[in-house]
This record gives sequence, structure tokens and C-alpha cells, in this order.
Amino acid sequence: MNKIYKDTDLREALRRKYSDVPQLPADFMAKMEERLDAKPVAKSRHQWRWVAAAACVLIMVGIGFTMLHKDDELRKPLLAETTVKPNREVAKVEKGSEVQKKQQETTEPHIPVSLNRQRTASPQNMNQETVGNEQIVAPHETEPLSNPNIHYAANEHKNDTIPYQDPARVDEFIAKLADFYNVRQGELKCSASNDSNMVSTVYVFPDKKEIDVFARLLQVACWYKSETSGYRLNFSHQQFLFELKDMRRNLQYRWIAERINGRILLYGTNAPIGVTESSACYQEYRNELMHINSINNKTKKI
Amino acid sequence: MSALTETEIIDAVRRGQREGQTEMVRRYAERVFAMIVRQVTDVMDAQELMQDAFLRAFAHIDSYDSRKASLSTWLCRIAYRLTLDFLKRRHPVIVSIEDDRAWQTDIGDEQLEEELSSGREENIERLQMLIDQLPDEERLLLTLYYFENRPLTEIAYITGIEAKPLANRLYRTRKKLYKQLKQ
Repeated sequence: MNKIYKDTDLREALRRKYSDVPQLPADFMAKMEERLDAKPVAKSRHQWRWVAAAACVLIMVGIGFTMLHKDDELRKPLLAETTVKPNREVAKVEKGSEVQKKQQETTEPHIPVSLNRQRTASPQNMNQETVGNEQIVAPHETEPLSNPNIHYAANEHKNDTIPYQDPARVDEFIAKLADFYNVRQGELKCSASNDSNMVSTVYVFPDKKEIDVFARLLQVACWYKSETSGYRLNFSHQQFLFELKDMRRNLQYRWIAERINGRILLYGTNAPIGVTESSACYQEYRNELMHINSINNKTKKI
Repeated sequence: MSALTETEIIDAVRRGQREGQTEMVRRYAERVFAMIVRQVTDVMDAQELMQDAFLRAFAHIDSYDSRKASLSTWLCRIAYRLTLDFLKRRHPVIVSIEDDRAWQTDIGDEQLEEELSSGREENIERLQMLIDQLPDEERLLLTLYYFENRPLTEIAYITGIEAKPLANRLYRTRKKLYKQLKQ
């Protein structure tokens, strides 16, 4: 590892390539001073961030505290602030029953509030529950509240543009496949020592026709529409790559399979979107595989 | 101010003193800029990245550990990360899934070194072209190792990749270049 390669051709090529590298502009210090003037000194900015965050928390606690003790009566939790008086509910039921018949014939994803209140059994009313004489309706389906001081934590409704499919199903499938063929799962530590965000697993399958790992992975990849977030599929006889993103959980998934010396190395990882993944641990494992027995005979973790 | 030692500069920056910051920039800017501009080529982009590197260094000066590396190397580590991110943003990584057996070529270390030290002009010119086609990380690795003559342990610190996988990666890159030279 400490050997220094001469590789004079390579050195010369690099020397020629970088011989004409531009020099640092003469006004670089002036521009640097401008950047420093534009930004306050980093440390004090950090402190202001904490002060601002603490102030926000205090304000929110103060508002909550004020709201809690505004009246003499004990108030319900904020999310359950919407109350439906019996007479209003009855009126809506009468109105709703006629519309309900028509509604059942359509496939509208959004149902008017009045219908939600009395269609408790319908699958489209899953956000609704009845507590005592009150009905609590999901925030995005309520009519505007009379009390402007009430805020919901997540007052926005997002529709999936395509039906959601959990990328984790791929991992489940692979785990079952491995279990069926007695292939042990290996664990790789591909994240930094103080970061456990990345989950990496590795399997070493025998390269046999009866298992045909690549074909099965391809089948699994076909479960997902190509419009799925982060969808990338690329394969050949030698290698297989499949990537997906789970925008609900903010995770990115990647599966790589490769034929090596009569075996198929299948590597799967998931990490928060945006986390840089280094292939170093995978490469190291791969190199070891070139020279050692498969993981099925070893218990060593890399 | 120009007589400040590295330790004094670091202390000054930790205290948020502007003089310490400007002295750090003055002393190390050229080296950091050179490392960046070799990969980024556009001078304006490289200068901006260099400024970003120093600003980040000032913001994270407390994380610098003089036992692990010199200040210059630590700055290069920051610059390396920023450069790589910039290059990836500029052109997304395309995973090549060709049936490429270049890395499977069975060739010994000594033979490989011999092949890459032929002295032939056509090889050198071809290598210049092939280096441009390498993925950013591999090209950066070659630059740090061959052009800047840094030991692998130092490159490991800069890149955040452990020395052994780094050595493997260097070996694979060399084999790849050799195979492409032979085509």
C-alpha cells in the first residue's frame, strides 16, 4: 500500500495536462474580503441561529400556553378543536344522503365536508373518527375554522401523482429469495462512524440458472413505474443497477448486482436523500470476494 | 501578521478575528485554488469554490485536528469535497453498466507499472485523453497521487476514503487505463 508507482507515462500525461493551469487572479483577496464582509463572522452567526431558534420555541410555547388557558373551561387538544353540533350534523345527513348515491357512482378523490361527516364506514372517510358526540375530521377536509388562532401542524394535502409503491418491498423480496436459497445476509458499514443513516446489505448468490437472480431482479424492477421518483434501471449480462426514491420517507434506494467468479454479488443500500454514498466499502468487499470464499462460509462483517 | 505560525492563525480564526482569516487565505489560497482549478477549469467557478472552501473552513475551524493533518491538507480536504459536489452537479454521474472486463484483466503490479512507463509519446498523448474521460473521483485521485505527489495516507484523509480501498481504487484505475491503451 505504501509503494509509490512510477508510471512515468501517467505522470507525464498529468504534468502536460496541468502545465497551463490558470493562476489565482490578482484581485482574489479583495473578493474574499467582500465575501467576508457580506457574511458576518461564522461563529456569531451560529450563535444568532441558536438565539433565533430559541426565540421561536418560546413564542410557540407562549402561544400554546395562552391558548390553553384562554377560557375558564378545559379546552380540547388543538387538533380536535373542530366540533360539530348535533343539529348541524342532522341537517347535513339529510342533505348528504341524496348526494351520496350520486357520489358512489363517481370516483372523486375529494369529498365535500358535508358527506364526510356521516359516511364513517366508507374507505374514503378513513381520516374521520367519532369521539362522543363530536366528529373529528382530518385537517385538509375541514371547512375554514371560525377561530383564526388555531393552526394545524400539517395543513397541506399532497396527492401522489402515481400510486405509491414502497421501495422497501424490493429489500423484502431479496431477503425472502436469500432465505429460500439459504444465502446469508451480510452487513456492510458504509457510513461514517458517527453516522448510522445508511443501511447496507450484501448477499452472495450462486450464479445458477435455477435462481437466475438477474431475471428476478428485473421482474421486481418491473413492479415499479418508470415515473417513480428516482427510477433508474440499467442492466447487462454482467451487471444490474436499480435505483428508487421514497419521497414519503425521504430515502434513496440502490441495488447493484454483479457476476463475479461464478457468483452474483447483490448489494443493497438505503439512506436519506441527499446523503453521499461512497462505494468504497462495497468495492473493498468486492475485492475480497474475488479472492476469498463467499459470505455464506464466513461470519465476518466488513 | 505575516509572521504568524499555523497555530496562531488557527487560534485567531477560532476567535473570529478577521486578521486571522485573511492571513489564512493569503497563505493557502494559491494551493487550494490550484487544486480546484485543475478540475473545474473555469476560473470564476474555481475562485468561487475557493472562497466557499475558506468560508466553510472558518465556520468549522473547531473541527480541525492538528494531529490528523496539517492545516493545508485540511483545507484541501474541504476543497476536494466542494469540487466533487460541484462537478457532480454540473454533470450527473452516469453509471456505466457495460460489460467492461477491464478491471478483470489479470496483470501483475510490476508489469502494469512497466506498461505505464513505456516512454512512448503516443501513450502519453493517449493517456491525456483518457484521463479526461475518467470519472471525477478517479481523475482527482490520479491528480493527487501523481501530480501533487501526495502519499496515499494523506489522500485518504482528503477524500475520506480509507487507505486500503483507496489503494485498490488506484490499482483499478491504472488497470483500466492500461486496458484502454491497449485497445
